[in-house]
Amino acid sequence: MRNHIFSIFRIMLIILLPLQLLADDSSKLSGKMGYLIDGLSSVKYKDARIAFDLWKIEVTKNNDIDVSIKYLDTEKEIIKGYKNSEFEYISINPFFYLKNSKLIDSLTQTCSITLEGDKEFEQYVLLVKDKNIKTLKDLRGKKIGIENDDYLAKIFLEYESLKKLSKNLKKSRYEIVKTKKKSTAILNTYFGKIDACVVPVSTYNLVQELNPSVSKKLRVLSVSKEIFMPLITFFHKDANKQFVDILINEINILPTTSQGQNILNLFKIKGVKEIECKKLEPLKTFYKKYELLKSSKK
Amino acid sequence: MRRIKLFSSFFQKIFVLISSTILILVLFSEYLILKSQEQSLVNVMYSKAITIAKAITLVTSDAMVTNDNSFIVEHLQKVIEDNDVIKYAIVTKAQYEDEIILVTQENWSLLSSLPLNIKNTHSETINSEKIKSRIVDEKVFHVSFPVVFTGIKWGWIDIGYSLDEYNNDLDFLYKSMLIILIVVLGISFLYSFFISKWIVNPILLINKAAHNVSIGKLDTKVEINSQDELGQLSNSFNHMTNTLKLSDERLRKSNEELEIRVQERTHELNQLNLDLDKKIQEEVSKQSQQEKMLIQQSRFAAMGEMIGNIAHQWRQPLNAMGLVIQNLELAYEMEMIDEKYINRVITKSNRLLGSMSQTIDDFRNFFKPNKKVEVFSIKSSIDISIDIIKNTLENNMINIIENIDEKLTIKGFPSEFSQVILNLLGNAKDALVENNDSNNREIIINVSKEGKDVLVKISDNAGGIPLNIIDDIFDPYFTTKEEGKGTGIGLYMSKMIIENNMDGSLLAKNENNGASFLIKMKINEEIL
Repeated sequence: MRNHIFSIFRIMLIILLPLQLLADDSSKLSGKMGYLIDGLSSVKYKDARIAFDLWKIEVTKNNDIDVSIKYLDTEKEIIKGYKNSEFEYISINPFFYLKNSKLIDSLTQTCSITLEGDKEFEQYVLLVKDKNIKTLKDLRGKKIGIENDDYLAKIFLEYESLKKLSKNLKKSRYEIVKTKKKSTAILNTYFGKIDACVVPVSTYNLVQELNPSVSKKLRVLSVSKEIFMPLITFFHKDANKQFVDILINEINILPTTSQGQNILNLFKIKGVKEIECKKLEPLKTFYKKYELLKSSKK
Repeated sequence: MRRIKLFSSFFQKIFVLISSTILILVLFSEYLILKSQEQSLVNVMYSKAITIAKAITLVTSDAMVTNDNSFIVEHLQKVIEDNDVIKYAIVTKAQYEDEIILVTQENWSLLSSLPLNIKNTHSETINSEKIKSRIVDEKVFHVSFPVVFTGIKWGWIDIGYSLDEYNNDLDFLYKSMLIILIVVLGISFLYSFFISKWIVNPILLINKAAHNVSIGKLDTKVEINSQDELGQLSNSFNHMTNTLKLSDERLRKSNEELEIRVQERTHELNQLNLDLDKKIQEEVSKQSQQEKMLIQQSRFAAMGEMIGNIAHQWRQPLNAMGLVIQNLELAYEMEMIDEKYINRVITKSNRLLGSMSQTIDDFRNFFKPNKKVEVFSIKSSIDISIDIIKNTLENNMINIIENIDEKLTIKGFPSEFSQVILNLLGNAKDALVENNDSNNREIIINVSKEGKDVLVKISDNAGGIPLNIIDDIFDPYFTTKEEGKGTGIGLYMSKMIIENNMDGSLLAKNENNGASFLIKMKINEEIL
């Protein structure tokens, strides 16, 4: 009798233990994010860390998943990690995407962009104060303000210059003055500290709202197409689809909660939106044109 | 312990006094606390505003020096974004006073000049005050912070600190104070109620007991067991009521005894009164009898007088009769008697006898009392009296002078009036006989009209009535005449007749060396 009981117990142990272990592994989804500090734009690294920590808490509170973030300093590190499937998803400045678009596109199942304004894609404007600056040619030797990490603004400016200025780049060279914030570039132009600035339209609108007299003093010299964005997140094709859906769902509901609002405020964005990756094509086209122009006018 | 009316006036006074004292103290304390808390809130607000202003100064000082407006704007925006209590921040640079940066929660702008109320706050020191800001169109706590470093004044940082928190705190403070006030008031009312009750209850007990004692309930006791003054008062009161009760009992006993004595005395007095009544009745009866006797005497005297007067009247006819008889005797001796003579004697005798008989009739009529009131002539009534006494007066050499208005009449009893005149004339005669030895004895009778009255004045020259008796002469039984000659009833009766029966007055006075008796009566206007 006693042997029978032991036998039954052993059989149950043999059956239930692997099931338990199997159940633990399969129910807990996890993912690692790679975040490139370079090109964080106006978001402070410290703020970004706090925001991500808060977001992690929110995501794991609502879902049985593990989320980890790795902050990377260089483009190479993050691209390497994404290539090696070290990260389930990465957030990078679009400039680095444009530089590595082939690779990233091949590894990505879906992507999302951050929104700074009301529109999905952003425009850049070239603002000037001096009435004598009527064309891009007049910017020769002038100081043009661009936010420190705003690589796209710089590309837009160069693209416009290459497109409209003479072949001799050196002659038409302007001086780029880096500012900590996009709005600082506008204000510096307004107060005459610099001659022009390249900023997103959303930033310019915001500054205008805060002081309508800004638009009276500043003049738009050039406007880009609506193809830009501050940050892009790519979800690796190897990442668990359920995990990605959970994350995208959590991203979508961020503006609807107070804590989500706090997180967005720390990132200084209005929201994050999943897009089809093909929507990035105009940006890539623009970049190709830029590359072509640059190479043609060397 | 009996139930007493607690909400008495005294209780109310004590209650109101304690309640109002507590209320005043609480209100005063709350006022001080509110003022102190208000100042504390202002101090906190000032401290926060100064801290922010200092932080702004610290960060923007370089920008102020280098005139980096964009930095200043961005920093102020950041500060305002991070501190929603800051309604506005203004940076005024001393070297660029026409480039004043104003940043609010909604926007920012460049000003060429400051609103006057803000500009006035700029000085070498930190200034703060609550102002109505035109920038944000609301009341703010404005702090003007001068930016000074390296010994140079670079400008001012002006901060409009929101009063919302201050007002909310103040509102909360006021509400808290109101709640505290209500609670304290409630407690104070309860406290006042119990204290008032504690103080007033013994007094009301004593008052109630005193009231009971005042309405005679002397067995009332006050039960206050405290050792204080009220307890002592209660003991004293109880002692007093005991004493009062004993006194009352003694008094009652004494009263009862007194009542018995009074009853006894009253009985005795009643008895005495009965005896006295009897005695008075007896005396009155005696007096009545005496008066009757007097009247009788008076009548007798009057009769005597009448007889005397008749005698006087009869003397002359009697003498004449005597002479007739003597002549008849002589005529018989001389044989002169014939029929003619006899007839003449008879006629003469009859005439004399008729005269005497008439005299008797006259006197009888004079003394016959009138029974009904009639109008009569004063003159005729006086003449009747004079006729009666005329011979007596003549015998005593008394001259009568009459000044009488013959037309005057009065209403009354003529016979009794004549008796009064006769009485007065008789008294005058007696006085003249007694006191006037001269040949000039006069009785003057004046009858005249005075208004609606008739004045009859009978005067003599007998020396007058002695002054010591002049007030007594009308008293009954008063006489100055020798015993047997006067009854003392004549003047009394005369006064009674004039004043009681004829509604007049009779007075006596001395004048012109004699006595004058004045009779005043209402004149009769009727014609006889």
